[in-house]
Amino acid sequence: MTVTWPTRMDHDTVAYWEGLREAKLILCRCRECETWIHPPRACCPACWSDDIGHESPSGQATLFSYLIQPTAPKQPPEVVGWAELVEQKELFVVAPVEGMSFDNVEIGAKLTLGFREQGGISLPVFSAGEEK
Amino acid sequence: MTGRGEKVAIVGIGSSTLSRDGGRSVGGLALDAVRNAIIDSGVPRDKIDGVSGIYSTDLPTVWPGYVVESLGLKNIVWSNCSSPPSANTVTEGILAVAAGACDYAVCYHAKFRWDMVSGAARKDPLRRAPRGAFDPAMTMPLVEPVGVPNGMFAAMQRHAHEYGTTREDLGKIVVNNRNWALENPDAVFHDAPLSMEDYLAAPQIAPPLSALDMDMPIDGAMAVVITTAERAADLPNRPAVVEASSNAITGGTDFFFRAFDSYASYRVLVERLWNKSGLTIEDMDVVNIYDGFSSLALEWIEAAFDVRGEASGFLEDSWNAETGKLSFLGRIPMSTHGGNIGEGRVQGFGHVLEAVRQLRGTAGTRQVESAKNVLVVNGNNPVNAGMILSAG
Repeated sequence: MTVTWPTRMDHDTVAYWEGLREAKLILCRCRECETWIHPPRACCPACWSDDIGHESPSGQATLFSYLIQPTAPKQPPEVVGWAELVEQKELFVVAPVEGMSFDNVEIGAKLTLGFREQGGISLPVFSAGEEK
Repeated sequence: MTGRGEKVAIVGIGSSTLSRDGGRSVGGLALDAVRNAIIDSGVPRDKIDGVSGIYSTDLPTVWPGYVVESLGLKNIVWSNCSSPPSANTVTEGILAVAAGACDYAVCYHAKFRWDMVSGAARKDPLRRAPRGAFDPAMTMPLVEPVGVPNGMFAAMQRHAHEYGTTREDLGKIVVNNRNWALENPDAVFHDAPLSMEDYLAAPQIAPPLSALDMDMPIDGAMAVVITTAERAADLPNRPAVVEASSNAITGGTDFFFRAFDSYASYRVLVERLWNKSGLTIEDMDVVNIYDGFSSLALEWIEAAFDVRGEASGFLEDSWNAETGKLSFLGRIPMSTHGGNIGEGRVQGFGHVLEAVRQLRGTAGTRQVESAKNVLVVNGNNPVNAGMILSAG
């Protein structure tokens, strides 16, 4: 089955999806107080500024929590991680984690952002370990 | 509940049958519950002037207009369609009566085994749900590529990581609820005992959670009738007086990205109930704790008893291995109807009905002697509701 992401886009999320078309993770960041904002929002939750810019984080993260998500029949399940980006406390990207067995997941592990092509777009995926 | 100085009370309760296949449409179930609640209350149909339901839920139901038209309610001056959880329809009704927006409110919620609930439900042509995504946080497309993972499960993983919470801890909650369900003739698991050994042997579908940790999907609806305590004096049932209600939300409120802050909201809600009512957890005779998943109940217990991160030892201290039931502070039982896990998923409405039964003294073998105060908590971030009900 070919799926084309996203299933829905709006004024707040368009920059995120445009970024993924070029294999870049683009997140909202307040230009006034520099708070990172994800999921994307129209206004800064910290200072209420409407001046929302878009930036790429470093891609370094730690695993805050995870889920074992079934994939296809007879295929091993996938680790879906809540990757806490080093830029800000509880700034999460929810994405698959590679290089970590589903029966030996380590909360707190270092993660590095990458991408994988799925349904005609590059989606974020994290791999265990720091960037070489 | 003090708004204009008048106390408000639940004076009628009603339910449909609770089962895996009720042989009724979702609308039919809602009408069963509403009619039964009005009949139970003793309020004449034409005096019902407020109606409140829940739509915008993950699984669709019927809105108030459907109920009003189908039951020929002619004098509705206040209506409301609230967001989940189910107790929100009750707290809205409480506020409407307290504010004088209506005199007799009927508040309902219905749940149905729609086709998206299971493979078995998909095979039944009478269970096709109205289509349309439920995405009020506007974040679902961002997680659809990874299969819309349930953040509540990740919250449990994080809890286990931080506090060492185990499957045995969750098992005490599940087995407690299933054991109480054996004493509830209306419960979907009335005839299905579950031991701790059975629980621990169940396959973990979303580790550490198994299918037994989830509330049981059913066809079922429930309703209450609310009026002022003063008017309640002229009605047949002993009223369940509302001492306080709250719908607190705080912290991160996204099911997918930040499902880790429910506890913060639970604490705000519970503190509000204590402050507004002047009561404390020590004054409670029963606690009916929301159990959409056992892991949600675990954090509600931490909030209600102010034991953050200590659930494991607290549940152990409260556990009676002989009866397979919990008894908090040496005497307070939890969810004597069996909760959503034992009675069936009406999204926490059963917790309200059971509180009323306990306060009326009509809970049968489950009756807690001279029960005066019951804490009811419902939902999880960002949809929380709670109330303290007292014998009038």
